[in-house]
Amino acid sequence: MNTVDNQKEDFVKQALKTAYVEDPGDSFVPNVMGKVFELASEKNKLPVAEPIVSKRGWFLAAFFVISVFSFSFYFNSNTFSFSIFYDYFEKISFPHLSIPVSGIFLIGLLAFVFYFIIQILFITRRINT
Amino acid sequence: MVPGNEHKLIERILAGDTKAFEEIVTEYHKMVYTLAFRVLKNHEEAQEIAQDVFLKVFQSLKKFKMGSKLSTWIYRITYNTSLNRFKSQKREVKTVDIDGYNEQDFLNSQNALDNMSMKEKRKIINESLLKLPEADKIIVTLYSYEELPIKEIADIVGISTHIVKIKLYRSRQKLYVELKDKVGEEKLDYYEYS
Repeated sequence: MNTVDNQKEDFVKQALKTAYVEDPGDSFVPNVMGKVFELASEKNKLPVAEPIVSKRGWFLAAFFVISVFSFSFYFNSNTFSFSIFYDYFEKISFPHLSIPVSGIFLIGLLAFVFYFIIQILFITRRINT
Repeated sequence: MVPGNEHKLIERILAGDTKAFEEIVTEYHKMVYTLAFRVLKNHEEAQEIAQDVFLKVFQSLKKFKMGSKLSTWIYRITYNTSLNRFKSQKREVKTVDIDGYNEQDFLNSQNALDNMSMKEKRKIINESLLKLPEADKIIVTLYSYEELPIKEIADIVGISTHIVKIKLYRSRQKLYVELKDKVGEEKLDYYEYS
């Protein structure tokens, strides 16, 4: 480094010593401590135990069970028949597979769709919380 | 703050003595605010960032490694938080060209500054500091005011000691050019010929 470089360095060093550290004001420390105490009190709160299945969940489950039993008690083959489905779908065909459409198959499919929708609702709620 | 005392203070805070955290805030609030202000150039935003820094420090205190220095850790959080805010606002960086100069230029500038009032001097120097790039401002501030060693500054900013030295050198060159420009031809003439 040449002489002028050194002189410049010294000049800037001296100049910087006269500049000052900024002051955020007298209220800064009390404001920060206020927020710190709030944080500390939130940390200390005991977690409230929540049930795994909520009241709403129980109502839905009860509704579903009651519906299934009601369906089996009050509907029989004379009042309800799956023949309307058979009119449209005798079987579900794939290139190398053919699944015959039966009452059991349709009940299983309906239950799966219902279960799937319920799961989506639960997962969405979980993600949102 | 002496490192031994720091660790005892941290242990007290972690044990539940939240009031003890005030000592840390009181000790470091000015430098944290200064660093934030140097990056953001806005007092309100700098206050917000400084508050966020101390809240982050309080929340992460249990992760602090007792072997390291508290100041380094706090300044690193300040630097990263300020820089993230700055980047999110996509501010323009005005860079300073390092022009050629001669010995006479240097002497003129030095005389001119010597004859100014302290208030004027500080204003000009602080304005010049604000024109440096963000990382350079932090490096110059930590080196000049806190007198931190190069290695510690490198830890805070997350670059090598070699790069810190280069940035320090170039920052001083830029500051010199800025100070020369700020003082201006009129004042240089006045002080040269008075």
